[in-house]
Amino acid sequence: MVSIEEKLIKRIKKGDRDAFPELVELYKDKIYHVAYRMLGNAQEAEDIAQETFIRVYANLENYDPNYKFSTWIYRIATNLCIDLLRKRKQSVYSLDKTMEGAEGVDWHDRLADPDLGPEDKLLEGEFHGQVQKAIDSLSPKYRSIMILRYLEDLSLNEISEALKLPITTIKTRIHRGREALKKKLNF
Amino acid sequence: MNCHQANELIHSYLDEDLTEHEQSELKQHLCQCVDCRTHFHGLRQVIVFLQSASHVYAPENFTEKVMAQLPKDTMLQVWKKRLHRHPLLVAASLFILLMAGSSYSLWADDKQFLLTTPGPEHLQINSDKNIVIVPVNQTVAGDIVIRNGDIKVEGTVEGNVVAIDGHIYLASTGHITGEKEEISQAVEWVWYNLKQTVMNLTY
Repeated sequence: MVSIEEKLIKRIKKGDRDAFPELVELYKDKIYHVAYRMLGNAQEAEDIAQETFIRVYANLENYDPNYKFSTWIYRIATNLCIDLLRKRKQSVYSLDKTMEGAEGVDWHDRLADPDLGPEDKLLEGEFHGQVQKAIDSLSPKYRSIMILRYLEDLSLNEISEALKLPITTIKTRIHRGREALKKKLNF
Repeated sequence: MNCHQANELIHSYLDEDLTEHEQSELKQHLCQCVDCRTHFHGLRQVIVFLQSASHVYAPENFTEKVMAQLPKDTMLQVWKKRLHRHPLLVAASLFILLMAGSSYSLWADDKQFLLTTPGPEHLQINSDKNIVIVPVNQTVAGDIVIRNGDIKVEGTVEGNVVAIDGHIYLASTGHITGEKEEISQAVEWVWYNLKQTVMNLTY
């Protein structure tokens, strides 16, 4: 059984100009969603998702058909997101830095308290962007795995293939990710 | 089973990674231990919470924007792709192109001056300038064909005048009873040679 992706990739390699947009249509929502959840920002998510497809086009010759196309494209997207998060971390002013001229006061004190009242916590789902806030609290290496597992519904094997990490590592990170979120969310 | 071991099993259970035996062992522990039960429910809530995330969709014109950013194919790539898709067609067109080129050079080499006429005695022939003159008061009965040269008709030709790769000049005193035709032979020559080559290949 040949998948739709495999057929499309064959057509792209043969030079069929109509096949690539079909492949983009097939994956654009998945890739945009992953990028959006990784970055928590619509504009950056769109840029990264666009870049993902450009890389797919440029590197299609290197794609190994023995692996699922979906895991390959997820790998490109998550790597681009992690690179961007790393760059962002380097350029952003650290919140832990003490404010000049104000002993003992750091930038955390200047931010509005993001925690919601207990009544809001009873509300499920996306209310007040709680899911995004919880995901943002994880470090990128846990974030990517939790997103792929629970938002994109990939199996542990698929995640292991996508991130090129042994399945034992994936399991350990999922366990720690669940524990961290439970603590964060007070569940 | 202690609580630490139970926690390991809880995570394996959430990963759908437990044998039936392990499952029943875990169940037994959870029935007895309130702390582990609370912990287990908390972790399950985390999963449900994450799964409740609404799906976001790619913005409008996403695909068009991607396509606009793709590198344009160079001429070489275009031909490579065509070769990949239609190898026979490309080979055939290349063959025709080369054949046409060689036929044309054959034709271009063949610049000999030729004259066919029923009455050469009536004509003035200047082979240096490749020009034939039908003088005034002279009459040629029949067709004149000239190749790679010009013809100037001052007298009368009772027939057709054909100049292949040449010009026909008709003076005011001149008269041609038949057709007057100038042919550029390059195209026909190439076509003829191609036909000959293909015939030779097929038989």
